[in-house]
Formats: sequence, C-alpha cells, structure tokens
Amino acid sequence: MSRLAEVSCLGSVAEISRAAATPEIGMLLDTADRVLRDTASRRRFRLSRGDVDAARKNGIWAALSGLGLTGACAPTRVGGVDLGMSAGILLAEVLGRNLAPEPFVACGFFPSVFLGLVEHPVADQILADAVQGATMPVMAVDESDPAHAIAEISQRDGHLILAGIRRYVHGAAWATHFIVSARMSGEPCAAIVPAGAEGLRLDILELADGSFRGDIEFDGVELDAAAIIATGVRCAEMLACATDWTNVALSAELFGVQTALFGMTLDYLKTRSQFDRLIGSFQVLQHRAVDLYCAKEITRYVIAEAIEEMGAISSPSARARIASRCKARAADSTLRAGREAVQMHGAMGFSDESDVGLYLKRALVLSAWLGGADHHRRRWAWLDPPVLG
Amino acid sequence: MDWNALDDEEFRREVRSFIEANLPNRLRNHPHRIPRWEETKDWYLTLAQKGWLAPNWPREYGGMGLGPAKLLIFTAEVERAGIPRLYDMGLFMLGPILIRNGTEEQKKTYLPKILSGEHRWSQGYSEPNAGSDLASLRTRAEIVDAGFIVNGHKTWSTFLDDATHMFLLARTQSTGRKQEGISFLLVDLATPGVRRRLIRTLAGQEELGEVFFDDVFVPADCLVGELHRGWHIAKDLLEFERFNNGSPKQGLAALRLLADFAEQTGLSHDPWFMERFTRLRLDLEDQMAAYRYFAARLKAGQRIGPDISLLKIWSTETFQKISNLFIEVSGERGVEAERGQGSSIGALRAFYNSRPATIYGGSSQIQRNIIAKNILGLPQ
Repeated sequence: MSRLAEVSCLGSVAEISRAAATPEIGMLLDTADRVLRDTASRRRFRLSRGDVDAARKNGIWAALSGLGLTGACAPTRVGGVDLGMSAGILLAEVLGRNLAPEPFVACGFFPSVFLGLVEHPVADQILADAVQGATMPVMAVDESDPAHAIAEISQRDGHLILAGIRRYVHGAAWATHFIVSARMSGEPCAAIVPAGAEGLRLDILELADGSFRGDIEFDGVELDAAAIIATGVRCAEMLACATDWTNVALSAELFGVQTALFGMTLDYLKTRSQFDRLIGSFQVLQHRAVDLYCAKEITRYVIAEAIEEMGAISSPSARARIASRCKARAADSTLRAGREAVQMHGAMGFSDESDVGLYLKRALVLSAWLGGADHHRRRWAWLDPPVLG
Repeated sequence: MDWNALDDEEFRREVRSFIEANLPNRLRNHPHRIPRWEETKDWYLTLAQKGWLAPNWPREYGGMGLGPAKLLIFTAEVERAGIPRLYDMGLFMLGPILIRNGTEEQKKTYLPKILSGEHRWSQGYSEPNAGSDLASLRTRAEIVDAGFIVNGHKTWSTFLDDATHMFLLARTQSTGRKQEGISFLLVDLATPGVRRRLIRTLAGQEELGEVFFDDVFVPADCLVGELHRGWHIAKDLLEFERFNNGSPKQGLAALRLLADFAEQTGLSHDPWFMERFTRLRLDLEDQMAAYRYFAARLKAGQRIGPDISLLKIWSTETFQKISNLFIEVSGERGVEAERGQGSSIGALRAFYNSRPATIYGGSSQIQRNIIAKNILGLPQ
C-alpha cells in the first residue's frame, strides 16, 4: 500500500475488508497503487485540469487497463478476471487516494457492472472489447432531472429512432460508445449507441475539479434492433443495481480522497509552527482533527460492511438502502474533511498551489455524481428502513 | 455446560427464552438508570442460581466462561430485553481484576460473595480534585505493620447507596511520576472511620455518592497486585469499558421513544422534523457498523486499542443528539416531571440519562486527547 496507509490512523477500507483478503485482489491494488505513484498521478491530475486530451492521451489508462483494471469486475465469459465488485470498489479507493485523473469508475466500473448483468451477446461483445482496451463504453443513464431526462426510442419506416437528452455523463470525453437508458413503447430499455453516431451531439463541460462530463442530445439517431440490449422491468432493475454498486465505488473513491486530505492536514499540524509552537499542539486543533478522524473511521467501517452486505443480499430495496447509507456517509465526511483541511492549512489552503484544493474539488465532483448526501439520506428514509435493533 | 460449544443461534435462543420466562416485568424499560438493590436483587439471584450472573468470568470461578462471540450475543440479548443495570461493579470491574491480578486467597474470599450478592462493590477512583486528571489523586494509604491506614475522600461513586465494599486507588508513595506510587485496595465499608454521603443527581436519583476515610485500617491482604502498581491494574480495564460504552443500546432506546412520539403526534409526516430524525437514525446505524467492527476484532481475539475511544465519543454524543432533539420537539409534553413508571413520553429521562454518558469512563474531551496523542501522534 501507499506510504499513507503505513501510518495507523490512515488505514484503508481494503485493510479491514474481508473481500480484499484474496491475494489476487491484494496484488491488483498494490500494482495500481504503485503505477499511480510512479506516474505522479497527483501532479498529472493538476496538469490535466481543463484539458480534455491530457489524461486521455498519455497512455496511463492503457497501462492500467493492461494490468487488469478494466477486466477486474468483468465476468470470465468476456475475458474478464471476475474478481467481484469488491475488487473494483477497492480499486476506486486507490484511485481516490492517489487523485488519479483516469476515470476508472465511469469507464472501468459502472459499464462493466451493468453490461456484466445484462448477459446479451452485443453487450458481451462490447464488454469483451472494453476489457481488451479496444472500446470505452460509458453510461448515459442519469434520469434524476425529470425536466431534461427524456429519451425515447420510436419506430419509423422500420428503423428504431432515438430522440431526447441524457445529461451528467461522466467519462463522456473518453467514450467510444454510450449505454443509453430510454423508453420504448412506454417500457424502460437500454441501448448501445456509438459515440460517433449521426444525430448525436455531445456537449463537453468542465467541472469544478477540472475534469469533464458530457451532456448528450440525440436528434433522431438511427439504431439497429441489436442495439437494444435490455428491456422492461428487468432492465430497470439491472440499471438500479449497477447504480447502487457504483455509488458504493464512488464512496470508496471519496474515502480515498478523504484519507489523503486527512493525511495532509495531519502533516501540516505537525510541521507548521506559530506562536513558537507547532500548531498541532493546540488542543482546539487537536480536537478538530480527532473529530475528522472519528468521522473518517466510521465511514471506513460503513463502506467495508456495505461491500460485504451488498454481495450477500438479494432484496433490491435492502441493497438500495445500503448503497444510499454508504454514499451519504462518505459524501458528508469527505466534504467535511476537505473544508476543514482548507481551514487548518490557513491561507495556504486557499491557494491553488496546495493540493488540498485539488482533493476538495475532486470530493465536490464525486459527491454530486449520482446524488449527494442529501439526496441519499432522503432516498434512504423513503425506502422505509426497518426499525433498528 | 460449555456454552461456547453451542451454535450461536441456539445459544441466542436459549438466552432469550430464559430472560423471557424469568425477568420480572417491572424491570423492563425501568425509568431509572440504576435501580436500587432491593428492586434488582431477585433477578440478580435468579441469574446467580442459573450460573449466568458472570458471563465473562471463567467457569472455574463460577462464571459462564463465554468467549468473545458468545459474550456479545449474551450482552445483546440483555440489552434487547431492556434490563436496567444490576449491581454489576463486582461482576464487570472487580471480578476481572481479581481473576487477573488477585491472589488465590483473594479470589476464594471475594468472588463467591460477589455471586451471592453478599458483597456489593462500588468503585473509588475519582476525588474532588482528581476527576479527568485521575492520577493526581490524593487519598493516602500509609503503610503500617499489618496493612494500611487510609485517609482521604472519594466521590462520584455509583451504587454507593447499597454497597458493602469499595475498591479504590490510593497513593502509597509520593515520589516519581504521578501514575506510579498508587495502589489498588479493597475496603469493607463497615470499617470504623468510613463515612458515606449520597449525592442527588440532575436526574433526581441518589445513585452517586462520596466516601470519607478517616484513619481507616485496611489489612495487608486487601492489596491487589503489586504495591505502588495500582494505576496499571485499573487502566487495563478501561478499553473494555469503552467498548461497552460504545454499545448502541442507549441511543436505540431513546430513538425508539422518539419514533413512537413522532408517530403519535403526526410529527413523522413533517419533513422539517424527518430530515433531522433521519440524520440521527443514520448516525446510529453507522455507529452500529463501528460497534460490529470492534466486536469482530474482539471475536477474532485481537486486543482493543486506543481507537476504541472513537466509538465512545460517537455513541455517547449520538445518544445526546437524539435526546436533545426529543426534548426540543416534544415541547410542553417533554418537560412534565415523571410521576411513575410509564407516565411520561420519556423525553426528560433520555435527556437526563444522556448527560453523564459523555462524562463517565473518561469524558469526551479526554477521549479526544487520547486519540490526538496515541493515534494521531500530535505534538503534546
């Protein structure tokens, strides 16, 4: 593990997760961590801000993909290693801690989980290519904004025509294909649409942390019947399931970000001197640091438990509750760690030069994606959790 | 009977059905944090007769000899039944200390009398000028021919109302580090020179008290462990105590009362209230994840470290937040004084009972100091 993880107060989810105990997963995590450190991922993140091509064209993604990142959670029938969702979630933690600019959750995890569930020949082919690094399918399935979340597939002259809008597409700049959720004859469905399809307009937007997402408009995109890889209630269930798993992966990436933020803050408290004393000797700052530590540890236990329970249960609502609880806690505690890191670093924390800001902005973006703390607390309550105890 | 040989679920059923069949109804969800000995005595003796009074003690001393996993199940079932605290200082504090540090003679003399209820123990650690800074304690035990002469003043002792004995920390040497030179003594409260006074608490109960020692003779065989090494004996148990304090039991009980109140008054349909309620429910759910994490560490035979302090902070502060919200939303109803069991909605009781939680067993601020120093390694 990284230098950070060697210090006892900066322990990882992987360390306490039984799922990570297999040597294969442990080796994969170590390798990913080493590659990211060797390639100075934090510096690369800084340099790639606002530059769509910087991270896309430097070959690091291909290297990570070659090491097995893209195939980690994919089933063996498509050439994946099938290490389970836990492997992907723990990889997300490694990427978060190292502030990697590579969009692993968007391009390596989310589509892999969904396509793996679908079990459709076209889906399998796309996923098999993705595992090889030949394609980059990306999910365009956010329907959280009802005013703009319309996408319909209709029949015209014997062809299928996709029209509508999909926004908040993370990883869009990397996509070779989009997996689009839509309605067809009033039923939910999912279709694979090549990124270069005629009538598809992709609008790339820069986010707070300098990464990008896409908003897509489909203006009468013509599809083959084979492009429809899932339909009906089953399609909606698989999308919900993949989204829940992805929220746990985002929680782990957030936790990685939080670990780094906490580590930087602790270092600063131990080295910055004012009033002829190290500022970390002031009790008021010590107690603030302890509060961050407590919130961080609770988050770690919640994520580790979520990984275990999500794999063991079959009830969709129980799974949704675990995912929402996990994301709410991770988004809350990570943003708090970020705000406090800025405060405790003083003016330095407000400078662009300090990496604190990079991590805080990353936390802002990861929290908002697929719903932040408020959204997930609301969803958890709405899912009517059973009485405690 | 080797309880550890039973399957977990089988054991759980066994404990549950025994409690169901034998627990007197008046003890369920008792209004007081710690009822008097007269009220809990028959249940104490029922457990003793069954051999279930000391689940944590080895069987050779009359305990159940439960391993960590079974002990957690046992505790969970006791909490589930809403049983108030028994006179348990002997069972959970002194018993383990004697088993670990006592002489054979001390074990033979004291352990059976804890189980029979003949000896009821209280703890003498705090003093008027030694609270959070416990090592500054000034109660002296002067070494004389056949034992010690104790002079001093102990306070904030629970169970003092019906206690017969007190285990205490007293200074036997005043040189060197202040944690050294402290000894662990057993004192019969009927000894001449002992005077006690009960202290009424914020909650209106006389569950605390203070004890004055005026030239009290304590025989030499009442010293536990090595002379001058009492601090280390006492400290050994603190981490386990913090795990127990991290149990979600108190927060859960308060949350259930609040949920009932919200259901009855229609508050549960008020989004303004539900947002706050949901936050606290999640804080409690996540505390349970932390509790299970530390429980698993115990089960695996690992030592609990100083990070257990985070569980105590989180659990007691969550309990307080729940009771604060309860008092706030229950308005006039919430501030009615309790007139007897079941007469009130319980907001006031939760509010009172949650106050000492962040003070006893090392205050929240002391727990933060422990983490800052021992885990975060912050400069002192």
